[in-house]
Amino acid sequence: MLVRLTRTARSMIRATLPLALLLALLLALLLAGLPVALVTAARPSEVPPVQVPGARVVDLRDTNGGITRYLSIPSGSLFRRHGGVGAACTYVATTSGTTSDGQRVERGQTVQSQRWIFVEGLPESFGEPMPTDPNAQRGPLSEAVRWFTVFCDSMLHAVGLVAVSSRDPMLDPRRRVDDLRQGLRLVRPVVYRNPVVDRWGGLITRYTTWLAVTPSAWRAQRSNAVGWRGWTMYLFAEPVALDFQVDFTPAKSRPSTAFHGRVACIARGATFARDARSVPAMPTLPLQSSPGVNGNCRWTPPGPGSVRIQARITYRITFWANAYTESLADYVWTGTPSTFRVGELSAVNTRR
Amino acid sequence: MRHPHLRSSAAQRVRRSAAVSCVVVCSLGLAACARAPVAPDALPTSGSAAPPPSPVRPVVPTIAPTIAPTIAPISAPGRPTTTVPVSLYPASPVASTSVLSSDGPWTRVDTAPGVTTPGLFYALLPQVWVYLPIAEDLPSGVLWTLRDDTVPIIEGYLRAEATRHRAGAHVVLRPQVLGDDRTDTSALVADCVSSARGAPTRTGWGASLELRGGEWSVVSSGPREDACWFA
Repeated sequence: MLVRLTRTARSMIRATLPLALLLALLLALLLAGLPVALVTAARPSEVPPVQVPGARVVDLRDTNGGITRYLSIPSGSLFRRHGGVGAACTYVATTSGTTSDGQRVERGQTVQSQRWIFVEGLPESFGEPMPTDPNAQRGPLSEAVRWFTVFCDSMLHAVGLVAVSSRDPMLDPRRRVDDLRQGLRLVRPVVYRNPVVDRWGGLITRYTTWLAVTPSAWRAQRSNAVGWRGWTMYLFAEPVALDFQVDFTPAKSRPSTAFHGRVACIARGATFARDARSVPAMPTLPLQSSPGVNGNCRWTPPGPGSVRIQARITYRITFWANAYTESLADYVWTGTPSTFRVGELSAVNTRR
Repeated sequence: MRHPHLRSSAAQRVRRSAAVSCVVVCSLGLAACARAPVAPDALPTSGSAAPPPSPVRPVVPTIAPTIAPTIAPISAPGRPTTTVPVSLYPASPVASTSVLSSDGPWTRVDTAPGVTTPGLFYALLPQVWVYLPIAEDLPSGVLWTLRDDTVPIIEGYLRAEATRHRAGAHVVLRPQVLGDDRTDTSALVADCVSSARGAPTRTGWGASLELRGGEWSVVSSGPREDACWFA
């Protein structure tokens, strides 16, 4: 009896061990949330992936908040390289359905699609530029990125997030800098009219001329806004230096030395006084000076004739794009030349 | 003397077999429990490039901490749930208020066959409808919306389409203005034209438009397969 029982036990062991293992495996799979059908009916080794032809698209957020689709992607763009150039995106179907091109997909089946979709989220709020300090916002433009959700084949299959640099050829706002420059309308500097001109009818030989501009042009200025591919862009122009081109032509009747040269006035970073009439403010000048350049903003006519004076303001240019900034090359803006007659003061009717 | 031993041995093997089964169940169960619940099509930080097929969903990696978007499921009626970083998208998309002008060959209607997402509906001809989305609907794939700056382009396109289609064609036009080659005076329109009768079919169509004399006009048009790729 015992022998029979033992044989029965052995046969039970042989019979139950594989069954127990199978049950354990099924139970584990059920606990793991994987449907049995996935294992039994849609084993990927047996069911080939669904291949979907197509191309990549980029959905950029406009400056007006809407989305615009781009089908042309530059070759150097991350949108073209992401996941591998020419590679398909892939996902495993969690439900039965169809691909974007209408192919049937069973649950658990792998889909490999050439249709990568990059959809930009909402831009972060950045407000208006600060005219007083355009740099005091989000930091260097070189560090700016824009975020995209990566979808595979359709909007139903998000497969990643990707940050795209502002330098990406698909997005680079620097491509619009030339347009901004051409649209930059700075106030033309006007040469300050020395009081002697109104009093005596012109500048005076050997009397120092104060070279300055009227205050209207000496201020930070901003271009019109340009919107492009989600960027709101401005150029900021901040005056940093001032000099004058002076061209003196002696009167033929009273020959003196001609002068053609640049007179420095405000150096970059220099401090200076200004008032409501001129930049820089006119100081008290000596009654007589030697001809030529007598220091910053000072030039003295050598004799009678005429002088043509043109102001040149150097602006520091800041490129502003969605509150990120980048310094550009300086920009020199000249005013319309002013011409003054130069004469001599003569003592008349001094004998009484 | 052997009988008790044999009985004992048999009993031990039965117990061992049960123990092994239990260990397998428990270990696999624990492995299953150790798996974090994964949302369908959850987000890795970068797209994958056709790895070997695997029935196991990709592990959810950490999302870049600088953005830390909220991951939440959103779904559309009749569609499987998808997961996207909703904080990247409007929680309640503001509907565009743009409409087509009243002097075109279109008539405002309430709906168009087969269109379930919100938007503007027009009858271009009898049985020729036009659908223009006015609010984003990500799960339904609706991203482009009609805006004031695209209204004149769409109108120029529809004027040309009114001469191409015949009344009673039973089609729905879904034009959108692309960003490609867009300038102040030129634009491209992609249109996924779907049949509203019989077996559903979709045909991609495209047109190039230019601004001439203050009005957008189609200068060339033709089949455009990719117009329906993502429609």
